[in-house]
Amino acid sequence: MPTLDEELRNRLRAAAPVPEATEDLGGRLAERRRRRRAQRTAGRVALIAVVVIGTVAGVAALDRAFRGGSPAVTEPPAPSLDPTGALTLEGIPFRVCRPMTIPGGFGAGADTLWVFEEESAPGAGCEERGHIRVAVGTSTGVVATTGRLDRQLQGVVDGAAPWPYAALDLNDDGVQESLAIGVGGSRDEGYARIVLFRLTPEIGGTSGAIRSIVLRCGSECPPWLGLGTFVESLAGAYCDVPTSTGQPALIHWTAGEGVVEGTAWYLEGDLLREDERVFSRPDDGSYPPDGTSDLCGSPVSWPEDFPTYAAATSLAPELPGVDVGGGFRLCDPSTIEAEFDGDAGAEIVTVGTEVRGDACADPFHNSMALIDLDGDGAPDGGTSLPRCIGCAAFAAVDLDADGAEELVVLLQGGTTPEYGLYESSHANSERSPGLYPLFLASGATADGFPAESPVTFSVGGDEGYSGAVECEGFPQAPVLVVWSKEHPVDGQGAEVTTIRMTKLRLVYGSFDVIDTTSYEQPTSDPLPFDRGGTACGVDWDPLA
Amino acid sequence: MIDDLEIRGFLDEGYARLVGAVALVTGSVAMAEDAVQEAVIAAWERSERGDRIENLPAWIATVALNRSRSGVRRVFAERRARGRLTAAPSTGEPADRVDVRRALAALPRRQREAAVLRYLLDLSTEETADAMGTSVGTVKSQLARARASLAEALAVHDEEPTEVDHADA
Repeated sequence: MPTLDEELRNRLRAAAPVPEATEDLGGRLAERRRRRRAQRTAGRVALIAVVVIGTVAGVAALDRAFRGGSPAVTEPPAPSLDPTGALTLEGIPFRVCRPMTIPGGFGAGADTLWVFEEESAPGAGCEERGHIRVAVGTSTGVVATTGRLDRQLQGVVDGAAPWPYAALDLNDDGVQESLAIGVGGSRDEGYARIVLFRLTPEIGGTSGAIRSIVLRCGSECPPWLGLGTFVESLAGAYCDVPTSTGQPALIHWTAGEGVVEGTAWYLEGDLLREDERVFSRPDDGSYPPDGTSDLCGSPVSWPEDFPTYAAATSLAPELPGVDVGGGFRLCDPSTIEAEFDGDAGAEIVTVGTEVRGDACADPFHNSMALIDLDGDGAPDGGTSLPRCIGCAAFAAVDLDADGAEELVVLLQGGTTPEYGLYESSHANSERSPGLYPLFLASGATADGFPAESPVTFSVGGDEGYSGAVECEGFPQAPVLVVWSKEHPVDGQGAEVTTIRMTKLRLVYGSFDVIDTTSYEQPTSDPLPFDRGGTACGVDWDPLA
Repeated sequence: MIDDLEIRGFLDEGYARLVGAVALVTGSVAMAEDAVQEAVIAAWERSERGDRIENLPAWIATVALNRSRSGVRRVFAERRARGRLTAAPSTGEPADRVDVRRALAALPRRQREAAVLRYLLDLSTEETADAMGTSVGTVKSQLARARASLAEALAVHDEEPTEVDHADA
């Protein structure tokens, strides 16, 4: 009689599905890889074409200006909702498709929010869905004195389905601070998803800006949702009042086999919290199969008179920083190219400081890392960087052996450099495209790693503090070993130093603490770690 | 064409088995094929860059499982709704295969991974821990729970010590 293990082994083997076709698998994989390379190359060629065309147009404009003649005015295309017709908007560096407006209420000074898609490629028209972009305008969507549409493009997400955009007042404060964009999939495909942005308009003078962040779950996210993952997998969404907290809630729900079930979310600060209620009921067809355009507030409107303008007739003032694509300018940019999203092709991360008005902003509070996932020269997402002093894209290393590399950002330079760790949305992930700080796993604790804070650590050091990072099991099962020693430089307590060691393993997008220890030793004793050197293939000395 | 002999060897000898294993974990052959193929391409890229992978099959299994996790999350909500329904499967497959898949599907993801890696891919406890990105102790406990649950679900009597006990005694 077989043992239980033998029985389980036999039955699992008998039950394992077999792939449908394995003939010429090597050839098919080679073709798959070739297609990806070709797509990436095409994206880069398109970017180069845009740059070249833009340069030629700029030279022509300068030529006209210096000759003193009347500026040539190109007639814009008539406003149109033709699904194949792309519109040209002054101030927008690409043609747009399917423009929509959402009426006001987005904080002080911003009356209208414009949502549209970027033409999928220059000259491609609007048949294919493009990246969804967001712009903010004043009362009529333009600044009267210049005829320009104020804009700061943010919140770039992949649009893949004709889903609605809508304004939400999720915290019931009378201001529609949130924007929901449905993207990807449909009920027929078995999944769909929605991204919730918090919008913060910044209007001043004739330049408008809109900052957005993707609203995320906190540490209480259910495991399937994952820290930092946006609400997803919904077949529809609607607003319901009130939740157990008294706030309106966004219900997202799935339907199948006659059952509709969902989860209620409410907003607390910048975090989405899951309400206690579990929503479940028979599917009687009363819920719209593809969501609704009336989520917690204003319905979407199709503008009848979406403004279009001629090409610029005045030269823009010279701005500091470097244009990194997609309407972003960054000061002191640094870049790194690596395989961040697991699509077998390199992505580019740019780290730098935002431009505010006509100057570089304070880097301590205004630095960010942006990632170009599709090679089109424009960032597809990013993350803000805290406490940045001399930030730089520092290294890329695969810390969880999943074939995609994590980003190491130098947050603070100097003799005790501090590093932060980030991961990209993966190519087949439900996350919105972007970079995400890595945290300790829910419930994990270790000295020197505050709960609910991204994992950072320092190396090098001085008389009172030293840090180091070592690595075990790289590259197959990497474990980061973070060391530190700390003691007063002089006076009471200076003769004893505290040694801390924490072993971290990146699993499921967060760090498990697999070992941690803390002890004291005489300051004069040799340290149990070396302050410099290479670990996990990274030389952690920024001056090296 | 792939010119790395080791990768070609894996495609000939290990590919189908790994797809079957990942499919048992994810519940989707298509998703498993996609994840394994992505992992093979990643290994191929690394090979061309001169990076050495010490244990190619284990590395590809690790990467494929890691990649399959995000895809699983994508359809999780839909499956959760369907999972409560108890309608009999209509696949036309032998009932015992369906029973095994259903029993595996009822396990928590990590128990399911541990069982499949150990029983189907014949990885050691240490290799399973590496593939799952966790400790040997955690693998042992996950495997013991999975074993007990599978034995109950499949109505198999457990009269012998476990392989974990043998291997690690």
